[in-house]
Amino acid sequence: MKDSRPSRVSLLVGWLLLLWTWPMVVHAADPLTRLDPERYGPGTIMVAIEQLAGYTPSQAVEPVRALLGHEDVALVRTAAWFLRRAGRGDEGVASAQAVLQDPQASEKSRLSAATAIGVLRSAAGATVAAQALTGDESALVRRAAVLALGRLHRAGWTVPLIAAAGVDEDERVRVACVRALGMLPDTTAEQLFELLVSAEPAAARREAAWALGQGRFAAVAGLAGQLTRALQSDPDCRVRAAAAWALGQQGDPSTRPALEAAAAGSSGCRLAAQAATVALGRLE
Amino acid sequence: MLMLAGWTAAAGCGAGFPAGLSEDLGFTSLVLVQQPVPANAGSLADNWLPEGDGRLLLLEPAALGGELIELLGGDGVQVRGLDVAPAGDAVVFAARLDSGDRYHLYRLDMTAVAAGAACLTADGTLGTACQALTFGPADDWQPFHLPGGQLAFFRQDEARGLDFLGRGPARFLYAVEEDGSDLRRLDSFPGQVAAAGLGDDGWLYTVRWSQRPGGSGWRAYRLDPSGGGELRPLAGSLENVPLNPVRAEEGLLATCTAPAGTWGAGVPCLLADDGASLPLVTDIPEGTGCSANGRVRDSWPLRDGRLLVSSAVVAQGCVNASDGDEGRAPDFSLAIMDPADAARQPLLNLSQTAEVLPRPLMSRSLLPEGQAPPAPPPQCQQEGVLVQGYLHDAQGQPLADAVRVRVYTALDGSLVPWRVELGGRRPRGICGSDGRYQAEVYADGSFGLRAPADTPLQLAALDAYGVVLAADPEWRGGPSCSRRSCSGCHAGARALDMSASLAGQVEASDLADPEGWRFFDFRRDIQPILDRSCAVAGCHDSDTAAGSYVDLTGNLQGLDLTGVAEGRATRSYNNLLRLDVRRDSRSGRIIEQRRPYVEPGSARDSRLIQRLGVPCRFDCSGRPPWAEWALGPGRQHPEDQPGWSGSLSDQERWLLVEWIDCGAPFVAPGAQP
Repeated sequence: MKDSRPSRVSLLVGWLLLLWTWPMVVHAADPLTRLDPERYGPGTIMVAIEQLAGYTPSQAVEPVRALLGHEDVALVRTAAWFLRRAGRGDEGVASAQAVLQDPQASEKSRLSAATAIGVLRSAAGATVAAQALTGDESALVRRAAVLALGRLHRAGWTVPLIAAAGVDEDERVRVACVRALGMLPDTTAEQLFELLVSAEPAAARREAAWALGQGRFAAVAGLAGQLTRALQSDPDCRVRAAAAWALGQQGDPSTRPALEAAAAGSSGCRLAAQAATVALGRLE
Repeated sequence: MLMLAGWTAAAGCGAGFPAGLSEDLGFTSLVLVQQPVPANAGSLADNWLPEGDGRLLLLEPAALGGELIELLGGDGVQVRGLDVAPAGDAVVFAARLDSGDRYHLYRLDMTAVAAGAACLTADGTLGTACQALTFGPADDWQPFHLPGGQLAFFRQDEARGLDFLGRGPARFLYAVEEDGSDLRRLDSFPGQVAAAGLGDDGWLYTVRWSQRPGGSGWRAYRLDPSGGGELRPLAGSLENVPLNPVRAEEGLLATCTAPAGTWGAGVPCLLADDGASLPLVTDIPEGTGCSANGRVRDSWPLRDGRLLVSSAVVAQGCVNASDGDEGRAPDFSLAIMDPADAARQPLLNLSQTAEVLPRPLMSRSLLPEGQAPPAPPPQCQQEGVLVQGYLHDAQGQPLADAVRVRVYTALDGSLVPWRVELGGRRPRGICGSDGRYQAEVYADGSFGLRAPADTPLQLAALDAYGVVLAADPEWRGGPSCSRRSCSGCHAGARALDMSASLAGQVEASDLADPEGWRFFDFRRDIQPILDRSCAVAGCHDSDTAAGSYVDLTGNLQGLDLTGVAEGRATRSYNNLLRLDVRRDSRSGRIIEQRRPYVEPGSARDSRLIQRLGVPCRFDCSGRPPWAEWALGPGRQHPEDQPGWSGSLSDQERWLLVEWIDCGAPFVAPGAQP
């Protein structure tokens, strides 16, 4: 009967084959090797960063930093999150700043870098975002920089944002400025009152109304009056609805008549009437 | 049903149906969301909302060649999730009506649509067919109906702080009445909800990122949708995440997919009570992998056992992270799928750049006949979550040494964004101020307290020295007036009758008053103690840096506790919190690590406290005056002797213990870096 056991030679060949291929298997499984944008696309690199985020190896920091200039914004967000998780937010800001100041960088790359600043949440990012707001030619980049500035939640940046909310040539940037102002800790109700009346386009006034619905403004004198005026007289239906929502959040019973009138359809705006109805429910 | 008959008549239904697809399945039309395919395969944890325009469409009849009618669309409009009302006469969807808008919920009356009304008028304002249900600066999406007429949905608000992963605003589950009133939060976990659906028993099945010591990941939970009941963790960490769970005859049907790199596409699966999943189609792999049948993005159960699916196919059949890299975005299409052989009967293919989410326009019951949803709680007399339970250890044995329970709450990432990485260093602050921040543990091991509502909470059992004996590994919490029971705080929460317990006989301790909360600020609370007692000349000042710690690379390290600024913190903080690691030189993986001085979240394991000693604090009769696991008088740290002007007081020692037990945070909310 023939012996079916493997011969010593075939066992030896098997072992040699395993030893030869093992480094390649290990190399392919190592997510560090998949951070190269020359060889891999953003989807593959994002999965690799997610794997690396579990143990944030220091060897990954430099290749991940280099990704902050990538044109895929989802990949850059993931890279920025990794750097923040690794405690390397300041270095990430430096990389993003280099991209934003690079005259050769594409609009997509600068947009990604500006977005990364908000994800990095490093103090140094505020100055870089403010520079992009005033200096970048692309409205999309300026808008991303403004929103990043808001997400940093830092005091001291209301003045440039208010200025840009009034003068930036692109209305998307102006709207974003008001939105960012709502996120900053030192924005005053008076600054938002002014924007609620005068900001253009209407979406910017809507942002101001939403910001005034925050609990920190509940005790501000004149708040109910300003919001009521917006509810009754703003030319834009969506702004009137946002004002109704903010009045409901603040819960001032003196605003009930104005809300009841709006709920009855006095403003001629279905959205505002429905928002006023819900706001009245909160006053109960 | 009357309305459905109207639709059927209007469409001349039946003529265009292929064999095997007819009114017998209970629907003749379906509504669907069309939205752009994201730029790459993405991650479930990436919580940024999609760019681009989307539409809400009606396919009638629901067959190949059926007419496609736009219900909502236009420049800047984007739709994210929909559900058909149980009566089949309305559609609730989440939409952004212009590019600067947030996602809000809207109810579309299909009867009004049949009569010619529109959701949006020509000038972009709300038409008579649509009613707005939510408002404000938060993003709401993925609505689904609950028994009793309510709607549950996901909410994400930049003002509400970061999720546990630190990737962006947390996603919470909310509910609202069908008319937009009574908005309320169903959970308080900043845990990145990925999926939620209604189960057979009226409870919500949810999947969220969960941060636990020793293993973070996607986990399944059952949540009482009445807003007053329990959160039940189901066993195990999920390798594949079940998305869009819906009730089917056999149980909960979902689409199980890998958490990253799959475009959210996977295999239709059934979910077991313990959260485990069973793939329904054998020819489509779970997780990542390739299949000639592509993958499924969303599946909806039909009456004959087949599935209405959104089907994702790429040329080589993989649907994974490399597809986008190689310019092969999945081709999403609608089809009826037979799970037995994965055979698909096509219904609609919009384009390769459009993802579709379909729902049949038909009546259905949300719960099995005779099944009642969980009852809402009785009216509360006080605000706050009532937390009651018994203290046990991980093996279910009573924690005999526990005398108090303390509540921690997570620091809000929007308030301290530069320091907080939820889940990183267990950042949390103590609720309650001196003297009343802890609840008593009674002789039978029971306790009762009211904790802040809408706030992620962790409980910790304290010994007589005020040191944490055991801490809840899970964040929990709930909306106002809800009730949580805790059996051991290690075994997860489950419903308990506390009426017979000693804690049940007395008024619960009130820890819910925000005025009484305490949050640590290292420079304000801890550094002055170090300056007076430690960082003095010849000791832990910069010149001397006394210390005898040999690190993992074999070097002797001193300890400098001066409060000079260093990086984003101070030198003393960085030194105390130092993590000593040894890494693999090639891959960077950590081979060995330890914290020489302070272990955030555990004063008991921190050498700083072991060196300083802890005096008895609560119910001290018959107990040693100093904790025996740490040094006591006469064996104390050399310079910390009674009579010396720099010696620590009992209160200062307890403060150090509290600071470490609550995660050793650097800043309190509102503090500047």
